[in-house]
Amino acid sequence: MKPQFTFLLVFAALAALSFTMGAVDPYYLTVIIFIGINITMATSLNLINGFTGQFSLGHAGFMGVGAYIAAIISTYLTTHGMSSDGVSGILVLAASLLGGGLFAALTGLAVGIPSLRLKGDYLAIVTLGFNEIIRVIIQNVDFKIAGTHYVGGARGFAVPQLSTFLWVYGIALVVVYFVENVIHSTYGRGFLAVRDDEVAAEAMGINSTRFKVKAFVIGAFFAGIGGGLFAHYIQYITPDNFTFLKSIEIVVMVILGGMGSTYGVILAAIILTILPEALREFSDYRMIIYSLLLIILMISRPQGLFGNASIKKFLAKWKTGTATN
Amino acid sequence: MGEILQQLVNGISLGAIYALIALGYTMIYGVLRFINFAHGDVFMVGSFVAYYTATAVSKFFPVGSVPAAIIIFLVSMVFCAVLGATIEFLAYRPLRIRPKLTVLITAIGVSLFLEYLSQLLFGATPRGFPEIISNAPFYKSKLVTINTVQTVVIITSLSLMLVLRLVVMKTKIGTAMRAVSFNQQAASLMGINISSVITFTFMIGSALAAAGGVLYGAQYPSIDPLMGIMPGLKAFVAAVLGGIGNIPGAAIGGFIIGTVETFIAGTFLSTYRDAIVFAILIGILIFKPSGIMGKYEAEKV
Amino acid sequence: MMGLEINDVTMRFGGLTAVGNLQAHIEPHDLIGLIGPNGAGKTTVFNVITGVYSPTVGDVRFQGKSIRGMKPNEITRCGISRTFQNIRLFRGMTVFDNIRVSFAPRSKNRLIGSLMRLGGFYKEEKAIAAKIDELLDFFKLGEMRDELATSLPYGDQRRLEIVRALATQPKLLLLDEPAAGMNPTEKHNLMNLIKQIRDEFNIAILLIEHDMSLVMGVCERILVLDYGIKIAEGTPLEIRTDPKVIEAYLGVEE
Repeated sequence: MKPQFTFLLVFAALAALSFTMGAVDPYYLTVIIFIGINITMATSLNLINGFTGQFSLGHAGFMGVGAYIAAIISTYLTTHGMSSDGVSGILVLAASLLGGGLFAALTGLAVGIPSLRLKGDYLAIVTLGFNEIIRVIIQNVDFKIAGTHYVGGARGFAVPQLSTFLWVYGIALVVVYFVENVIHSTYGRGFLAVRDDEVAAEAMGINSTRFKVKAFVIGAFFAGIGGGLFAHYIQYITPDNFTFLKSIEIVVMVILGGMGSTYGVILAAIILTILPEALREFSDYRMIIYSLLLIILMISRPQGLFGNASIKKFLAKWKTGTATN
Repeated sequence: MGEILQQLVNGISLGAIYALIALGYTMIYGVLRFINFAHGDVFMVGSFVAYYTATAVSKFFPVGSVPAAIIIFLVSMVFCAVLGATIEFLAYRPLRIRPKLTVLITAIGVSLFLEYLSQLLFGATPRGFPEIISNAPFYKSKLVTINTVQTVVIITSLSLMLVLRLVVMKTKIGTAMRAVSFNQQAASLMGINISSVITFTFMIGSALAAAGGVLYGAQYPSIDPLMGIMPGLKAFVAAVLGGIGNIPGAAIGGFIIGTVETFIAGTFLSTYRDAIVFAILIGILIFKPSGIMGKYEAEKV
Repeated sequence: MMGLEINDVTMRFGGLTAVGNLQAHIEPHDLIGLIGPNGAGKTTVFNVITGVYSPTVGDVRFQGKSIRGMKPNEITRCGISRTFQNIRLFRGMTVFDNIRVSFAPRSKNRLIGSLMRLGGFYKEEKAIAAKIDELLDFFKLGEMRDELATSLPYGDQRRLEIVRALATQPKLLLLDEPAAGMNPTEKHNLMNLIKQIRDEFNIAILLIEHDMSLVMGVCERILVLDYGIKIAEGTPLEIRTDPKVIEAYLGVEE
């Protein structure tokens, strides 16, 4: 089946599913929404970390830029005559997400270019530094337009609720579709080549600089949109939502999913969103278990739990299993 | 003029602590070529061990007395040396031949583990650190006041650096450390036991971080389980500034970062000071990745 | 002049002169060997030609224009391609994809095209796949098309690197120790293959090799480097009898 049809089919299924969401308990709905946002975040980071091999620890920074810019746009529009309901609400959110995404992409460009000269752990630390710089800047911004507070520094920023199930999962679908289509094309093999061996990639005529910057810009764009969706769901954002700990959380999804495996990363995003909720009763031990799991995973299975190969193997087994049954 | 001098004193005493932490980063990078992300948390553990030791010791010696302070330092340093060696043995040693990023992620895991375990054990709320070194002015003039604690911080740091220098330059194990950091394979062929050198490096680095933690608590008397993150990152910046892997460089970098941060804190940019330290890091890595005193290693094709 | 000219190139690293005042030229259909003792600067010459290093002094010209200071990917697109002494295949990719990478810079479908996947996309991908399969069949690697490149036997990996370099459609191919680690039969086959490549693809080849019988058997002209200085240049027969070469190289090695 051509990917366009798959896309439409999945989208139609999501649209149908969205009608049932009204009946879902609000707590579970929140978990479902966060899963969708985390799929967007992890898949977009996977393009940078997993497919292009540029280890970034600053994804929450891009998310924060997108969240705040989108929130500024929607707050401005809704306090200047646009309704947050119906078609007008859709337009407001669309404009906000696009604005947030574009600003995040610009930030991605600003981070990507200087990061080109760095590799491995140095790059990780520098992106972490950028993440913190973005957070500190947000913490210091606070302004008023026509009596309404914007950004709000460390206190936080109230945002209208606009994100819905269909928006969140529609965007997640777009990100997955984008990354999968690009990565599997001949052109997209360039990203993987840069990851596997930059020197050899250059010798094949690949402009590694350009591929790296593109990965950062595209990844940041989608992270920005993810941030916008996040802001317009939880309705109150503070700079503390976007510290490098959040970045680490997303990185762990990518690692657990097996760097460079989109479906593994989606699975990891689902598990790692549900797991902390399931462990809520043991909240004191939650992060301890989490960090221990990370260490043990790195020592015993650094390729992640669900690399592409293991998923294929599982599916093959499952298929033969059903065939014999 | 007086204000600038005062800031300089404050900056140097903060920088002395950064320098102690930075030394650990640089030494570990020297022998293992990786960034020990959990180093700042060892520093935090050092503070907490000192906190509890101070309570225990107060039964025998008054808090603030010299013997109490010495015991606190020793206990904290020894504890963290053992902790550092344990972390290396359990978490990093199995990964020695793996890609650096795997080790970095593990180090992040170790860092989170120490932070949240401490939160469980000590609680998340900040605690007041006992006045193990007097806060009273040691020297006072019209222009500048230097507290006893600042004097002790600077003198202790400098002495520890001197001891480290002697260990690295004059002892057998120090020579082995330098050999390993110069060329691990060759060192191994010369019969040096790489593992014991690495263990030793972790012990020394962690002990220095612990000393930094005690001094930090004495100087800024509020400690909590997440206190190691920022000083840890800033000390890392100091190590990079000085040229990572270079011991005197780390010390100089520490003093520079401490001073710069203190001066920024005195201006209208004070709320941006963390961001500015990171901007310095990014600037160095882009324009002079070898730092002030380090050497740059290019990839071989 | 259509080939490659190396004009008085010097490459220094700090105080070390890896290549000194090198003068050389390669004509379009040449098959030239570059030999010399270990550390003579042979790979450095490759790195200077392919833009990994920019020469300290001197100029490198290809097809009449200077390529000095160009980035490696730009030089590849000018028509110079290479293999590596220590095999550098893309570890995570199949044999097919390793070659496919060389089409990525020339693919007309970039981000948007790959995303939209309209008719033209599939047409181009099909054409690329056909070219890759043709190359793989020519080098008898077709059966391993979907294997991970790094799972191939050593000799096949070396050949795959050559195929990958050829897929960039070079005018000049640089081979860095292509026979390293091969057994005598493989070496013999490689010798024939190199000649065949030169004729079928109508390109010039410059190769670094330690195996004297291979170099003498296949190359028409040989350059000898010692301590970064060219000490001799000529036909295999001339090189074999050159006293300077014997002193610097053959005398020690054999």
